[in-house]
Amino acid sequence: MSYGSKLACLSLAAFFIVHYAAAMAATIAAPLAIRMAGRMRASAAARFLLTVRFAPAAIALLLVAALCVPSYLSFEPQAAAEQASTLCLLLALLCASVWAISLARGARAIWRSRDLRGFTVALAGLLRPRVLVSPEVRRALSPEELAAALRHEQAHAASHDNLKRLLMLLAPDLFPFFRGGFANLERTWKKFAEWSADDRAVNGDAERSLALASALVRVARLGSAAPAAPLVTCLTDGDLAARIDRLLHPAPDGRPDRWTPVVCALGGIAFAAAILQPAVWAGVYEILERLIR
Amino acid sequence: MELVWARGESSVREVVDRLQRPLAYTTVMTTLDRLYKKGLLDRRKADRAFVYSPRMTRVEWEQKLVAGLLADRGRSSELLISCLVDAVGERDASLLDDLERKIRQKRRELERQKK
Repeated sequence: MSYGSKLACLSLAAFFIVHYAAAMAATIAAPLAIRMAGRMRASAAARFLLTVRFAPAAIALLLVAALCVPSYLSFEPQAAAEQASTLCLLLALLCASVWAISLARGARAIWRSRDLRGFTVALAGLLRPRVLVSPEVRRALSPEELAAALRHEQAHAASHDNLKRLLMLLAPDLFPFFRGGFANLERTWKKFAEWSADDRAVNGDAERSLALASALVRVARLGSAAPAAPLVTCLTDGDLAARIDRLLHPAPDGRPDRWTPVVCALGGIAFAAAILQPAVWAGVYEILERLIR
Repeated sequence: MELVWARGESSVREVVDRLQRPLAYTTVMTTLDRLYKKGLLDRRKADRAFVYSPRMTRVEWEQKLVAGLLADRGRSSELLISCLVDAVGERDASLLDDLERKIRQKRRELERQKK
């Protein structure tokens, strides 16, 4: 096996192991994370759930890129003639399948989101999203309702929610064709993303809340002939009754999420301190050697 | 369940206050306790009272319900789906009527407050 293919095989196997462990932890912690998010402000809840969703892939990528690859390049002799073990090959294959499935899912979602006919009020596009408003909606909504609907979609655009949806589809699963607790996290994130866009659109103003609630009902009555498009955000997405109830009876603001940035920063500092230690590189190389044998 | 789905975490008092028809505190407390025992709600203790939260989303609950109906071999799936489509259409229209009524009511309240 060549030096490069061994590196690729080890990197994939290491990614799979680290990702699997982190994703299992995220799956176990998902119900608790969802409960914690329920006590936060909608925007903070959406950010927090997104962090939990992407943490396993981010941790695995970081460990492979910043530890496994450099330690292999530093310690593995160019001339070493070794064959990767069956376990290592199997893990690399599983990792490649997980990524291939995610990439195919992302590509399919992009393909299915090209056709924009039939949408009433929606936000389409990933990098430079644009708001679509059908002529029926322009006729049906009052100027205040239309303005509220547009503010809602612009809030989604400002949060790059379509891009986040794509990244979620591209993020690897726990196991090929098994999403574990990720599906629940993603569904709850979508709910909080809608609530957060509602909050930003009304900005605590009772008149605006009424205008948005009224716009939601009117647009829902118009119905939609649009095909299912995973990367298009529609005005009436999510649980309409719950959204309107929030708009009509705003609850006191939830807590801001103070801990996630602190935990991420501390984790980053600990990780940076660890990768600067030569002993850590040697230890990682030792583990990689065991994996390849 | 509708109220807990809409609000997220709710205490018995909050549910009682938001019910459209007046019900005794103990009746609501017993109902929430039964929903907890049936696995539909989670609960945690806050101060000296329980705070309830939904264990599954409305969509998950509806999916479970429909899957249960379709799994019943004695039924014709086509007939069941056709009935469901009709029922969903009627329910959607009545839900939107209900929501519109709530919005009108809130608008009237706001106008009264302004005056």
